[in-house]
This record gives sequence, C-alpha cells and structure tokens, in this order.
Amino acid sequence: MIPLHDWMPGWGHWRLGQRLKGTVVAGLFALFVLLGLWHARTIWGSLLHTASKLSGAEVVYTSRDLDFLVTSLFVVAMLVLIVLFSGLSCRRRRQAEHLAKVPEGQWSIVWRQFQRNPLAVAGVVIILALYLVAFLCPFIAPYDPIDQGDRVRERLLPPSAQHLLGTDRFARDVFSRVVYGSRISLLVGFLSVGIAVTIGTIVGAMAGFYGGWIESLIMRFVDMMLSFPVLILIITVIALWREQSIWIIITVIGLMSWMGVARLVRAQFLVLKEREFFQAARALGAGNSRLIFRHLLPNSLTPIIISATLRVGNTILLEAALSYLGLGVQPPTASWGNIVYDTKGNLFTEWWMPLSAGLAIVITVVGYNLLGDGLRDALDPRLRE
Amino acid sequence: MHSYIIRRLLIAIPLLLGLLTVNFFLIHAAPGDPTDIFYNPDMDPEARENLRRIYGLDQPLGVQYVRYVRGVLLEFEFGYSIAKKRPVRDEILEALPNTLQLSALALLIELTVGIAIGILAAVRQRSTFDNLTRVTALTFYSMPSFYLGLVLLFLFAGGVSATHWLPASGMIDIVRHESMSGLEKMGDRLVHILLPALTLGLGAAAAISRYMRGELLEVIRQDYIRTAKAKGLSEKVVVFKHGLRNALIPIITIVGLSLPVLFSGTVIVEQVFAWPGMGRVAVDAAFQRDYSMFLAVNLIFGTMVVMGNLVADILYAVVDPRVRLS
Repeated sequence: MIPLHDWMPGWGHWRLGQRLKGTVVAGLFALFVLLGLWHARTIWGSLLHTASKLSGAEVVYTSRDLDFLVTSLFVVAMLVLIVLFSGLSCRRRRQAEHLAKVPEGQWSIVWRQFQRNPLAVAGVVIILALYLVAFLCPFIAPYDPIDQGDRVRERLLPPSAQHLLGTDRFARDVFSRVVYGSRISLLVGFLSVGIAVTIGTIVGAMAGFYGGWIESLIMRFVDMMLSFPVLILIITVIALWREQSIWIIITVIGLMSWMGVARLVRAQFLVLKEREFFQAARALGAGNSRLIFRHLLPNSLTPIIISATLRVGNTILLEAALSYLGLGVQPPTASWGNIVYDTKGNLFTEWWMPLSAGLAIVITVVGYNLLGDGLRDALDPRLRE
Repeated sequence: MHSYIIRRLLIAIPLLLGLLTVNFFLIHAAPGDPTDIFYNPDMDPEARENLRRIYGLDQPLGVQYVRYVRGVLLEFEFGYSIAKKRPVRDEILEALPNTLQLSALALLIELTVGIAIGILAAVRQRSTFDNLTRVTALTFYSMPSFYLGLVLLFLFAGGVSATHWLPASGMIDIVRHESMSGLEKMGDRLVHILLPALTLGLGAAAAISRYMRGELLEVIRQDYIRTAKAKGLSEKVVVFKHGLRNALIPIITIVGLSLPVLFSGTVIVEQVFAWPGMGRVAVDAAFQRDYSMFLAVNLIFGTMVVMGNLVADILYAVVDPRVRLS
C-alpha cells in the first residue's frame, strides 16, 4: 500500500529528501494543472466533439480538430503519468532503503556523470522544453498558423501584445507559425536520424562482421557517397521527385546520411572481433546471429547513441537549408526554414520575423549538440575522472 | 614519394568513374523525362518523339551512358541544358570560377581564424578565453549558414546601421563597375565577396578551432615537448616550433574531409548573397528539373571533393614521411 502523500507529485520526494526531484515533479504537475484549467473548455469541447464524431454524428472534423484532440489527451495523460510516476518512484525508493546495498548499474553511473555537467543538463532541458512546445502547439500558439487574417489591415504588423512577432505578408501570426514550426524540425530530426542509424548499423555490421569482398564493396561505396556534398545530392533527389511532402524529405535525408554510422559500426565491430569474449563465444560454437545480436551490437551501442544524438542537429540543419531554398517543407505548412525563406525579403524592415525563426533553429541544434557532447563525456569511461 | 602520388591517383580514378555512374543512373531512374518541360496537352506525340530523338533520349540507356562518359572524358562535354537553352559546359564554365573564388577565400578565412583561435584556446586552457571560444564555436557550429548570412547582412548591409557598409548581393556593382579604374574594380570585387566568404568561412572555422585546440593539447603532453622544455627553451619556442608543427598535420586531413560540407555551404550562401556560382546553378536546375545540368553539377562537385582529398593526402605525405612508406 502506497501512502497517500506519495501520490502527491513532489511531496513524497520532498519527504524522502529528494528535494530537487520533488520540486521538478511538482513544478511540472503545476504547469499541466494550470494548462488544463486554462484550456478546460477547449479540452472538454474537443473531447465532446470527438465523441460525437465517433458516435456517428454528422459533424465537420478537420485536421485541426485532431490537433486539439491529441493535445488535450496529452495534457490529461501527462497529469495521470506524473501522479503515477511520483507514487511508484517513492515506493521504489522506500523499498531500496530496506534492501542491502546493490551495486550501481551502468545507466545509473552514466546518469550521475551526466548530471554533473551543467551544459549537458542545459541541453536536456532545452530539448525537453521543445518537445513540450511541439506537443502543446495549439495551446501555446494564439492563432491558427495557416490562417490568413485581414490581408489589408493586418498585414506586416509590428510585434505587439496580440501578435508577439507581428504578422507576415499574408497576415499570418508569425509567433504561431514559429511555435508550429517546432514540430517539423523535431519530427525530421527524430525520424531521419532513426532511418540513418538503422541503415548505417545494418550495413556497417555486415561489413564489419563478414569482412572480405563484402566489406571492400560496402566501404568503397561508403567512401564514394561521402565524397558527395550531401546537400546537393538531396536537392537532386528531391527535385526529380514529382511530389514533395514532409515524408519524402524525411526519407531522403535519412537515406543520404547513414554512411558515417556505417563506418563507425564497422570500426567498432573490427575492434570487438579481436576481444577475448568474442573469440570465446565463437569457440563455443555460437551462430552468426547470436554473435552479432548478443555480443557485437550491444557492445557497439555507446558510440551509436552518441553519434545519433550529435547527428540530430545536423539533420535539423539540413531540413532547414532545404526549406530555405524552397525545396523542403512546402507552404502553407510552417517550418522554421520556410518561415525564413518566406520572410527573408523583410530582413531590413521586419527583421524580427526571419531572425526569430532562425534563432529557434540555432537554439534547438545547440540543445542537441550539448546533449550529444554530454552523453559522450558521460558514456566514454576514458574521459571520466 | 612519386610512387605514393601515383598510388593515390590510381585510387581516385575508379572513385570518379563510380561517381559518374551512380549519378547517371540515379538521375535516369527518376520519374519523368527531360522533355517534360516542353509538354502541353495539345502536343503531337510525334513531335514529342522528335524532341526525344534530338536530345538522344530515344537510345537505350546503355548507349546513352557510353555516349555521355565518352563526351565527358574526351571532350569535356556535358550535354545540352534544355531549360537554359545552351550547352551545359558554357553554364558551368561561367559559374565554376566564381564558386572557386568564393570557396578559396572561405577556406583561407576558415584556416586562419580557426587555427589562430584554436592555438590561443589551447595555450590558455580553461581560461575565460577558452570557455568563451568554446561557447562561441558551439553556437556557430549549430547555426544554419543562411542564418549567419542573414545576420551578417542585417548587421553590415543596412539593417541596424542603415548605412550600407557592405553590398548585400552580387559580385560587382553593376551600375558603376564599368567606369571604375583597375584598382577600384579589385576593391569592388573584394567588398562584394567579403560577406559571403565570411559566412562560409566562420561557420567552418568553429569546427577547425576545436580540432586545433584538441590536437595542440594532445601534442603538448608528449615526451619530446617535455624534453624541449627541460632543455630550457622558452614557452613560445616550444609551442610554436615543436608543438604547432606536429599539431597541424592532422588538420590537413580534417580540412580535406570537411570539403563536402564547404561545398554544401556554397549552395546556401550563394543563394543568400545572389552569388552567381555553381550553387545557384544547382538550385536553378532543381526548380527547372534540368536533368543534364544536375548530372554535371554533381559530377563537378564530386570531382572537386575527390581532388581536394587527393591534395590533402599528398600534403600529408609531404609533411609526415611515415605515411609514404606504409
């Protein structure tokens, strides 16, 4: 039985002496409670609207309604999750006090190292805050990002309380567009890197494990691909494709950036193959798939994770560059790159539009790079003091 | 030494051929047809066939490939740009020198700024300067090149100052350039190239400065540096004569490897500053779906990277004789 005060976000941790954790949990909980109360009518309305649609009523249901539903569910789910987390985490803490001292696990050591690095923690905070913004877009953005206001009277307004970053030449609220743009960057960063890491790991593992002519063939191909300027290659593929959509851009960026990971995994495999544990496993008659999946891959995970994190920043920059050239995410969908593309003509007059959207990119990429650097320092035992 | 250079050259040749082949088939595998640009619904199918015959597109792919490779290798002939209505070669010969100019100056800025900051940061490890450059380098490294370009434009070409210190676009002052004297013309070109080259160079310098710092710190910990210090040489002599020489060697490879990034950067920077180079040609080709232009642009960029790496490898062998023998 978990005592009632453990379920109170923050209080339980505070009582157990974990003050920082307690404050963070309580703060997050308060944030979501306030959000829920502030938008209570929107949330309730969105749920009712969806319910009536599901029950078969003839109502108009747009993608914007879906947006609101997802966000409403997100707020509710976060409230529940935070309560659950505090209850269960306090229970585990209490139980641990009664047990004998267990040796610290690898990830807990890494986490401890990581926390000591203020820059890395700043990176995590930036990234988490951005994901929060991306999930809560409809509640943060005061306007629909593609809604064109009065194009005579509300065009190119300067920043004000109604329009924090003013309006663009189509009388759209730039602040709302920047908020919604976070979704594109985070989505591209996440999915493209996922594709690149998957392909790179498979190809690199094949080259490193099998060796011989397979390795030469793969590595020569990788060398060749690496001698192309990636951006130009991506422009070629995207331009020759008929339709342009965010999914095609994600896929193309992913397909064009796996080479570095492949090199890394191969190098790691070559080192590991010389180690005693691998020789022993092979001598014991382990099959190829067991050797790869049980022995080589788990031991290659650290460099893969580090390089994936550091790669996210570059991927976000690639998407921004494409959108800036007008070849990426197509209007009216807002992405940071195409906001800059849209408003670069206003640089000398309404400078806040292009410069703020660009600043958002810089902050995001800095966040990911700080996180990656922090992970490298925490995961690489050679750098540990 | 000669045998080393020959060996490196022999490796570069299949790489370039592979580059050509992959590009050729990648572009021909794309949906659509180069003559789509002429398409209209009233078009006579026969006229269309004629067009395809004129541009040699009716031939089997293999024949087209052999013809293309022969053209490129023997006559430096890249076909005809349907969108621009002129041979691709003319367009390239116009744009390539501009891009080379821009990249060369950017590389110069990248090396001087990057190496200088790297040395200072390493010599004063953990000082305020070191920390400050670390944060600055991270910010520049995380910045899209178009953003750096726009910020520089805003600062120096008429945003805050309203005084147009530097021109915002182009290579020359189109109105006054013709009436300038020789020296003025040079100056005119210089002020025009300054902002794009800085944009390109400073972004890359961020990475170089970090590598330089790391390499120098690594070298300073070596035994021969301790010996040099024990002999009673001054700090300056030890760092610059013994340390720097050895720390610079790996930088050669890193610069070679960063060439693709530099050329990717020219595409963006040329767009920001309306610089009439290869990057502009690439983006125009993208919007006009200009197949033959694409193929040529990719080949030229690929070749420049391969050549750049070749030069880096040879330079490496010159300064570090151990490489030649292995």
